[in-house]
Amino acid sequence: MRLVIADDSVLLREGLIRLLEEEGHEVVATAGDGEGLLDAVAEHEPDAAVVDVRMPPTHTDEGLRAALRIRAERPQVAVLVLSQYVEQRYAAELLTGAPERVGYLLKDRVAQVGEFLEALDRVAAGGAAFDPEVVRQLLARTTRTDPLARLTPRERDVLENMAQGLSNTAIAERLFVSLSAVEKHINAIFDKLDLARTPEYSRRVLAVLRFLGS
Amino acid sequence: MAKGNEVRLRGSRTLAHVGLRGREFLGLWAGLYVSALTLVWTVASVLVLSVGMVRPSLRPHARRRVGAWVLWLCDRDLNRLARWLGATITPEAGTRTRTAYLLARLAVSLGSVCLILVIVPVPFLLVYGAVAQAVTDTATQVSVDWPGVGVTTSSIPLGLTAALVMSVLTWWVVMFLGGMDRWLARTMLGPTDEDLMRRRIEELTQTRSGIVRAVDEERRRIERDLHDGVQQRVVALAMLLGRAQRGSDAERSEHLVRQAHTESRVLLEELHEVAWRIYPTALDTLGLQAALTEAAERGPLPVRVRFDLAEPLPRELATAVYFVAREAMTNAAKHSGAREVIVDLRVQDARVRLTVSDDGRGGADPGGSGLTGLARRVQALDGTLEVHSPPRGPTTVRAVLPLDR
Repeated sequence: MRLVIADDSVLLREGLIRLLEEEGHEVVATAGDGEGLLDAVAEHEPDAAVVDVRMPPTHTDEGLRAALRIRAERPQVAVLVLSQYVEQRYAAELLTGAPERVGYLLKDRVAQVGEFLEALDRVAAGGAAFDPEVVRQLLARTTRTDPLARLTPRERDVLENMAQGLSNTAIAERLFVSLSAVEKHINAIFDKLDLARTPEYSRRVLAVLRFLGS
Repeated sequence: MAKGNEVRLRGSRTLAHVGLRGREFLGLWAGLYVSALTLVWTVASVLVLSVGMVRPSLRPHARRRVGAWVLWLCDRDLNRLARWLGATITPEAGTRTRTAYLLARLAVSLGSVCLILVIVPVPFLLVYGAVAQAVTDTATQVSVDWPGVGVTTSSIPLGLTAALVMSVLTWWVVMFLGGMDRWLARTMLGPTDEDLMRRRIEELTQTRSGIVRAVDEERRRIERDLHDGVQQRVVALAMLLGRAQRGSDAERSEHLVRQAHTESRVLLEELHEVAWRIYPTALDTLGLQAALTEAAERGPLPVRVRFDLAEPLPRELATAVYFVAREAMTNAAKHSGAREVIVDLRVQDARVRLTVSDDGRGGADPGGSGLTGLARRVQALDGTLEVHSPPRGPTTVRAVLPLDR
């Protein structure tokens, strides 16, 4: 796929380019700040953009703001945001639209090359990818206030994986259970959380994360 | 050698004293001018205020006018004190107190002048008498017959001795009157102890919040150092290893692992560098000079360090001095385009004076985050930080910190 990479660290940018090119992707442009990213996306119309949250000039949330603009103006471009650490506000902000073609990973996750590439594929294919750590923290935060307490441990496992953006098949593989068992768990979760049933994959991520973010 | 210096110093101090008393003496006379004006002011005020009494519509105007005169007169008198009596007083009092001051001063001034008029001519007369007797040869024999003293002497030495005694007395009187002048102005117009204390508290509150902000700023910088430097390297390193793991080509994998190994060494260096930027251990173990020299050596610019300290500085001062010097050196290397930096550190008049100057193009912004952080740090120790950096250079950063607070 055709990619644009935005990261102000040359070191990381170069590493990412090598890594992605070895995987057979094409990096069509790179950028060191938010403006550059928007220009590159406008010019090259890539399949996906990998975006660092903190970039010059203020090193706070330039990348994220650029990502949000891409999401608003060019929804066909998938956006995978890389963050230094879990910033729940940003995660929530990214989710205010439909959780399609969007991902939010911790930078450390890039080090786990397999997971990173998988997440990128998922996002580019129209799905969502959220860092397990982000999901874990969001879950930890909301369990205190509770309808989630009613979930069984297994249902919680399923919910966590679901929130990361995994499909039912992938969850079944990860948890070593049958596909139908996963479906059963998910229906139970929706029941317990009073969520309307929709068969659509992205809808349920939306539901789960909106619930988490509330 | 040292003793000779001291003696000379003491001698010149005495001379300065004489000069000061002379000035004070003149200043007391200059007080007469203000007193005369005060008299004029009293008369004018009475007139103006009585006009106000007769025409009530003019009353506020009249009061304002009298008030303005009071302010003006007080300023004249404070100028006099600053010029002749060496007392700079920043007036804090209102118009009412100033009026009281002017009236009190009028009394004191008239009293002083009378006293001076009485006492000053006496030594002159005595000297004149002695000289006249010597010239006309009319000296008489005087027998001094006090209890325990029985001397027969000529009237000339006696007169001169008396003149000397009277001169010393005059000296004391002038000292006393000058002191009284200053005391009166200070107590009536100057800030009270409470004012001073309040001001000090305000200052402390401000420097305290300043230092908290400076510390936060520093933490933010450390966080950025770690995340934008060290973390990026760790991720890059992990990415290399990840790539090495994924391929099936053994040669390529080996190459990547070798690259990763090199990268890990760079990472380690970076980590050392960051830790050292946070706090150089040399400051505690080897002292300020070693730490400064090390900082100078690490920088890209040639730095000359001049050191003139008799004994080591207290730790908080040493730390502040160190960070000011280092930041100034870093700034010089980053922005100034300088070829050389000179760091000069000395203790003088119970103050630590640090000067960092470069020969660069100047234009440094004292409001920049690095420099304001340092200024706050210095202010917290009751010191001052000055940045002098005209557009075409050179830049001088000067920090002065009191040794004992």
